[in-house]
Amino acid sequence: MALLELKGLTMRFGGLTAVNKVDFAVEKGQIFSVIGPNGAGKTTVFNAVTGIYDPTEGQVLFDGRELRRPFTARVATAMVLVGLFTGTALAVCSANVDQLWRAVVVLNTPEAGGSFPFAKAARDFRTFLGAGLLTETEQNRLTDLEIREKGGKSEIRSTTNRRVLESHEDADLAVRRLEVLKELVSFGGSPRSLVAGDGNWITVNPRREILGLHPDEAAARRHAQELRDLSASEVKEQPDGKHALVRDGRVLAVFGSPGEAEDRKAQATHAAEAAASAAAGKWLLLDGSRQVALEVFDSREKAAARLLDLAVAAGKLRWRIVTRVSPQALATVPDPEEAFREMSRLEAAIEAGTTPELAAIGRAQVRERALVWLSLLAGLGLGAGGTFVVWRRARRTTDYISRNGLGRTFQNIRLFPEMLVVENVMMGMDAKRGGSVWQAAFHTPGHRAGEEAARRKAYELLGFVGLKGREGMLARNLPYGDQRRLEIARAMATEPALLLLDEPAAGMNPAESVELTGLIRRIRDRGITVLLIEHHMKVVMPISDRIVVLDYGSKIAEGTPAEVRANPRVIEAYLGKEEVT
Amino acid sequence: MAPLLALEDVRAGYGPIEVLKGISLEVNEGEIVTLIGANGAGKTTTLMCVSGILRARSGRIVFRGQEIHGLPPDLIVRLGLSQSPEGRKIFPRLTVLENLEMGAFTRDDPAGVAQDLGRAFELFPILKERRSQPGGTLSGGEQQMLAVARALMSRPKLLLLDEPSLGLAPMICIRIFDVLRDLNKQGMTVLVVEQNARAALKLAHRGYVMETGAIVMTDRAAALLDDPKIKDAYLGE
Amino acid sequence: MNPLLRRCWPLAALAALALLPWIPGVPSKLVLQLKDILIFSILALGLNVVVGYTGLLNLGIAAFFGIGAYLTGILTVSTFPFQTGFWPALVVATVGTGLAGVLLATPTLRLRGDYLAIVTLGFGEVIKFAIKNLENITGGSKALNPIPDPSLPGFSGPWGEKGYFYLALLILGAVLLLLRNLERSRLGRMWMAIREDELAAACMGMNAATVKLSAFAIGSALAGLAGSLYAVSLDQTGDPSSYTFNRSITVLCFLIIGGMGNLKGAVVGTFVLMGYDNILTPWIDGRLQAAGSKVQFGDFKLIVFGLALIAMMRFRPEGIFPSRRIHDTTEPCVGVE
Repeated sequence: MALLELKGLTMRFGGLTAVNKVDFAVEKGQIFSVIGPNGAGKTTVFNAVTGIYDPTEGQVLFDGRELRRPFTARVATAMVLVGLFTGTALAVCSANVDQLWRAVVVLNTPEAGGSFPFAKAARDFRTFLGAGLLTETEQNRLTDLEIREKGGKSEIRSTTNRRVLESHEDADLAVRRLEVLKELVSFGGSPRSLVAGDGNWITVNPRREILGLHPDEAAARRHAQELRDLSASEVKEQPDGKHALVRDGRVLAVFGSPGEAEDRKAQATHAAEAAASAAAGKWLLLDGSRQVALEVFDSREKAAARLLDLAVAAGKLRWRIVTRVSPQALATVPDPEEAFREMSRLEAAIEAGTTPELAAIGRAQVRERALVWLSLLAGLGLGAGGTFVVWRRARRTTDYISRNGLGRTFQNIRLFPEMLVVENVMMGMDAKRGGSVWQAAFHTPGHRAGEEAARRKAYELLGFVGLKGREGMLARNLPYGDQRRLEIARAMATEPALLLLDEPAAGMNPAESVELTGLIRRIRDRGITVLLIEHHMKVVMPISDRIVVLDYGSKIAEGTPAEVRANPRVIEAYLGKEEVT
Repeated sequence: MAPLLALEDVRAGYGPIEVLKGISLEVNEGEIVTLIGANGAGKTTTLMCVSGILRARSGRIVFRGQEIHGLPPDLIVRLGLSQSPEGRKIFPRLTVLENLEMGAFTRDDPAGVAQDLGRAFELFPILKERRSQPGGTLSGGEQQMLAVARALMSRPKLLLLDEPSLGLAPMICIRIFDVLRDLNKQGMTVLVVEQNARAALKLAHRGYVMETGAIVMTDRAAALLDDPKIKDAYLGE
Repeated sequence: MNPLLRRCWPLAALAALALLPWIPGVPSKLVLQLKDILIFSILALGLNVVVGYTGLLNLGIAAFFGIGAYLTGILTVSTFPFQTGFWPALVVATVGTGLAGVLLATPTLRLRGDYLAIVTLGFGEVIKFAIKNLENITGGSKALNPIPDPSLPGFSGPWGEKGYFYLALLILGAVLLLLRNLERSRLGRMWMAIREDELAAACMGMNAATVKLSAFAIGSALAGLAGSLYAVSLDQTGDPSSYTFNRSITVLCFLIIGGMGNLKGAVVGTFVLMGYDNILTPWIDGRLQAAGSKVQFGDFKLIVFGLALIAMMRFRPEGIFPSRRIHDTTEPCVGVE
């Protein structure tokens, strides 16, 4: 089988036919030349073979294959993934991503340290996307607590929803508790009302005022003892005229004047009966000014639950039931469980269209839901379809063809001018060499060995084309002819089975051209088939196994060099009566 | 008579690299002079120094008795010196016809321009066919023809040509050299750099041989053509 | 300059910077400003991967910077349930912003030059308006706050400007090291090949799309990393106008001044421009005020900057450090073998 086979290759650009039904076959191990007048379509043939153009008609077969990317599982996966992404993105956008975030994340965020209610968030997500009903908490300002005597007991209850919070036998205790609860409720729901006693011991007095924070229990007890001592001490004048607080003959503190000493004692007495309490790990409910510890709990959950209970029981928190489509609340409920019951009832009512208003909401919801689903489907289709189109358009591309063993050089030299000569050649190997970004970023030994091998091979190839000693120069600083040689070395680095050389001898003098024929022969001897475009007959004639002549895009002759040279059509169209070289 | 163009000990280079290490050459009025040498010998650099694209580091460049070292390229062109650069520097978005008209930018004899345009199309019939196509859509060889034709359009006193036959079919090369001979007979002086040393020496009156940035030999073209060293190094025989 | 010094001076400069906060008399404000400069150096390095190495003009780098900052904010503030702490947030912000870069780049891979610039510019505007208007997610103009200090085992208490200075310096050092490795690796070469000649690169078997994607991913990830650091060092996501087109252009200027496609250039450009803007100008103004002058240098700083930029483009268009130091080791390229 031929290594490269062109079957009726036709290239049209607009109305212009650049290549017209060209057939030829390059066998393995040949040096095959394409010649013809300027503008005959030779470079266009090269471009069609290397995938820069797609053939308008006809086929380019390399080793019997068309070299189009196959439809693999990776493409399918990419289609699905991109489709899912665009679908979700569109659906989320059409459902108003900002409000969705608020409904699902912001409103469900627990206070510090609490766990996220995933089940509720998932439910909210579904109802939001489905344009269903949502609950929003609302802080009620009309809160007050009162004491009511009932059956010999004092009950503390809310004035808004008449829920009873506590009942006490002792009326005085009820009055004290009322104050505490009022404090708690007024800060209900705010995370700042919870303070951890984590790691610290505190000293409090019976009025629950915090007197001090201490690192351990002993320090707390010392502080308490000190305060008790001070309150029980008496003021005594010292020999040096100063005044001291003394208990049982022990001087506790010395002051300049009796007034200062009295003040300190009064302070301590005020704090008396101080006790070390609130062991490490306890949680406190504090009042707003953080001075008074109102209640103490073992765990944060218990404290938080108590706070919520109080807020609910006091009518401090209320649940509004809203829809996404109409901004006003359908109902306001004081209790979470009741809110869920009310929501189910309303959902049923909306579905049944009980009142015209509810029916209108129902219709709007159906529209919203349809929109979200439509966006999801449209996004899916768009994403998957778009991916497919992009893949299809890039089925036969230069890089894929190159990786399958087809190297080339360019008529107008296309090197990487700002890079070193050796880097230009290494570039030819880079695409085929494996290795991840991480290996490169961390310069792993494997990566370094790979680089070293590539560099050695590049030096070898540069020596092969005759650029030894120029490895460290910038490609742009090479003279024209050497740039052509570098292009050949770079193309050979891709390890091609077929090498396409486009006018390699342009810009070389006859002596250099002769050298070039030697180089091309040696390339062939390495097992690389060569397809050549060239005008210098001194290069073409002696080395070609077979020659094709193109004129105005059509093949006018094919054969061995001798046959072509003797062909009158070729002489007329191309060679001229007298050969220049 | 003083030469039309004279270079005296011209040194030039890129960055830290010195490419021209003291070049001296002369081109007399009515001559065709060719500059031959291996790749990287500094031939293109010499032309760039003359046309002012590259500023020489030292030395004198005298054209028609005037020192042109350091003048900007557009002034040098107005003095009657035109270059066709190597590597097909055409205007890719202008049509072929517009490209050619750009070549005659400095001329003010419409009749002569029209005549030269006719001759350019006669020389390169493919350009006439493609006169209204943008230059960038031409094939590589056609762009080369366009660059040469454009340089001819300026009808300079001295024409600098850098590799006119680069990438052209053998028949076209013959035609280009024929036209150069004709133009020379009509009085145009030509300095041509050419890899195709044999054809260039056949065309030229005198030749200079460059090696590693210096001129190593100069003689009548016919003599160089017979010189065994030249045959060995550049003609590949 | 001898070769050892030439190779080691960036390292020495970083070491000198690390010692700076311990020099007596160095004001803490200077440390704070240097910390910002270090963070923006990381941002400039990210942009350098996309614009400098790969040659894809990205005018929306501030958007990626913002994505990094807001991802960090969302993951750490107490008003949201995630509260992962800073370190996981840093990782998520970096990776997440890289993914965002891939998402933007995928549909625009076929675009070149001006067209890609317009797309990235548009993306920057989209992100700007998203930050402004998605108030529930981004906090709008109130910003997300407070972002807690990073936790370190064996260290508690506030980080302060010194702590963040060292964090930024450490991360900048690591980023420089990894980028230097990448620059000299196969991937770095492929980026530059795409910049130099995309068709030739494709003919070498390189998949231009994959190479460009990798550049976008790494560049955006670095921008996200910088954004994350920026947010945590401010304790909040900051003013939404920090993430607009203006910022993108400023960072591009850092690269232009410093030298495109050069690691040293990106960092030095950032130091020069931000140092001029944030440190030198206030210092001169302070001196002028002390001397009783009514003229404020700050009023003229943009004029001076503009003139300097013009002069730069005229005399050294490749920046302070050109992309490639020409290190031809061989004889000049004349002569035959």
